[in-house]
Amino acid sequence: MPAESTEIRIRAGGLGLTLVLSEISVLFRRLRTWAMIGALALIPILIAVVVRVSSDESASGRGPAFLNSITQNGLFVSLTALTVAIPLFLPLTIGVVAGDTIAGEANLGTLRYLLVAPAGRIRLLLVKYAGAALFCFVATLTVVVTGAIIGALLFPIGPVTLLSGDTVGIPGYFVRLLLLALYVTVSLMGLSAIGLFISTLTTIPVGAMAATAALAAVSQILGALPQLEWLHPWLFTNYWLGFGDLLRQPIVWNSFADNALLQFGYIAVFGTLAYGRFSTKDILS
Amino acid sequence: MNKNWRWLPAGIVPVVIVTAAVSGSAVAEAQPQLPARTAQELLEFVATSTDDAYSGTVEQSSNLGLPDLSLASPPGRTPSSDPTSMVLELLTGEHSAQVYVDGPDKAKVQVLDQLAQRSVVINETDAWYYDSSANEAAHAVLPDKDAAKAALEAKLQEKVAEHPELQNIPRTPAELAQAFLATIDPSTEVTVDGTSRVAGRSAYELLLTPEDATTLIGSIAVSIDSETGVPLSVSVQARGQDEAAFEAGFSAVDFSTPDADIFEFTPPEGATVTEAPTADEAKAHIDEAKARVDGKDQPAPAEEPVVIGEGWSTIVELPAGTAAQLGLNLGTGEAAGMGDIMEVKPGMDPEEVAGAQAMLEQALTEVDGGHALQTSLVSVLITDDGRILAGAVSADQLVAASRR
Repeated sequence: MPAESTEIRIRAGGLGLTLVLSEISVLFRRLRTWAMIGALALIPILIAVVVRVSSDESASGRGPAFLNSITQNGLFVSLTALTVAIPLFLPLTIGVVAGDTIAGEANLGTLRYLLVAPAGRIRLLLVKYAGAALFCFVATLTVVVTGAIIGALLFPIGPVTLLSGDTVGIPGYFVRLLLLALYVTVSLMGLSAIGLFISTLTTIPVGAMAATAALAAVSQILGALPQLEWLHPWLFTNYWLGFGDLLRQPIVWNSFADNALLQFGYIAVFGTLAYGRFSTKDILS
Repeated sequence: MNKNWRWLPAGIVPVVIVTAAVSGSAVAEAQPQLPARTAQELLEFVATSTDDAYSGTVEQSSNLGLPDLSLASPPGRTPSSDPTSMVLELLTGEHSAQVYVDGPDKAKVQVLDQLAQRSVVINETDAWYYDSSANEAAHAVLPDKDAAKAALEAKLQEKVAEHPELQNIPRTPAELAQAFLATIDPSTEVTVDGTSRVAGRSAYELLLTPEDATTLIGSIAVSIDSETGVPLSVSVQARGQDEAAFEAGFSAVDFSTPDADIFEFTPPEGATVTEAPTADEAKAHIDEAKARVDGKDQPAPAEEPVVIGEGWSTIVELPAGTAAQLGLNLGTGEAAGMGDIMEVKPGMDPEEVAGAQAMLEQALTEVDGGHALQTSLVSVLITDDGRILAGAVSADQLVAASRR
């Protein structure tokens, strides 16, 4: 008997990492995940090719930020693509992944088997959230790295001019790009927590995905209304485009810190809500 | 088993967040206990302040009662480089800037726009302005400080020799404070209005209240750091408006000397750099223009601006023709309605002019004998005959002044 109980304890203890790894491998073995990553990679490619093909100079001063700098330095493709992807494409893909976390398993009828293993509902929630968070980082990095590669292929590259007019070398720029990817990942963590919570409410994953993506849009619309200024610091989309502060010299860390605090608040609120809902829920499927 | 306790964390977390937010702002608003100081003492303290190296974040917001002009410009465009709309843009809405100061000679201000930045860098020899959205830089070589100072001193000595009574001009901080109070006294009440907390530091509140009932300015409050004497925030209150009409102040400040390389600037490759004329060149240019005018025996140059009234309700009247010079075209054309306010002059981007036009149309109201821009602090009247009147009074008073 003692041998058996030890074995169970070992399995239970090791289960955290095993479960995370299995969750990640399931997530990244899905065709859908790769389709979304491919779609995100298409954004910088599309931007770079369009700018390369057209030589229309009259459009200067318009369009998304950094667009006009691309012809001089291909490394700016990353920044333009990120500016374009943040409001719509990234939240959409995060919505799909986060909305699918619990509802997807329930829909497939696999949720109860996951819970039969001595995983515990808290641990399952944490593992699912870790998977969604990793996807946020991979998705952001995809946009940034593809942008740098396609920019380097199609345009001359060189030291990059920051917003403050100072110039950094290519290695310094890549450090900043990594910081940018981190910033955007943190920005999307609150939305992932909301998606996780919505996902515990339903067994229909499409509903949870749509609701999560729609909330991101609603939050951005509210953020654009000057009449609701008192509400803006509380919206999880408030600092989404604040990543520009990392492109100044010296770096302004205020928005990074404010953003992290805000997203942490959202994770706390919706994480505990998801826990309340998921741990009291009768799992029928 | 009752599982409802599992909802407990979901109830507690929002309560904790709200409590933290409320108590955080309560701490920020608590009035620190500081030794009492009179206005005279406080002004002396500011004048003797030696701690002049610091950096911090400045938040500025204004509430001038103007329509939100940021909506008038096409979306997705960063503030235009056209000076008029840039000033209007800076006057409305909110801005955040990073400020670095090291002594009187070195300063850097970075206006932090979303995904863009406008920077001003000043060091001992050069002044730079850089706008990241347009990738444009402007550069000026600063005149030699020591030479300029010596010249000023020599001029001063000359004047003192002419007018011996100038010998008594205030030199020490105490004298300066006294002189300031004496000059400002009849029109303004200067008081120390308790203490406050600005950017986490304790500060004295210096309050300037105009005695003049006709001005739009209700009061001006300056927060002065209790340790260093550096002004930390300024807010201007308008009469009949609860919210401050203009506010600028540090949200975070650090009194350590910023790195020296912060004050260096090299324009990035590919940027358009405009060189400003040096002082000597500018003077030569003006002299040349003057000589040309004199030589041609033209009619007397444009009249000087007229100053009407005094103190806080001073009105400045710019002579007829100024409006036309500025490219403003009011009153002519359609008699009643507003025609094209802005004239498209060669070299101007028609689209930018259209944008400025839309802005002005929103901001201007028609009054008797012209068009007025009424904000909660300042009014501007453009009369139909092309004069411009401006002052910190209501538009009605400007109209009355324009009839004299």
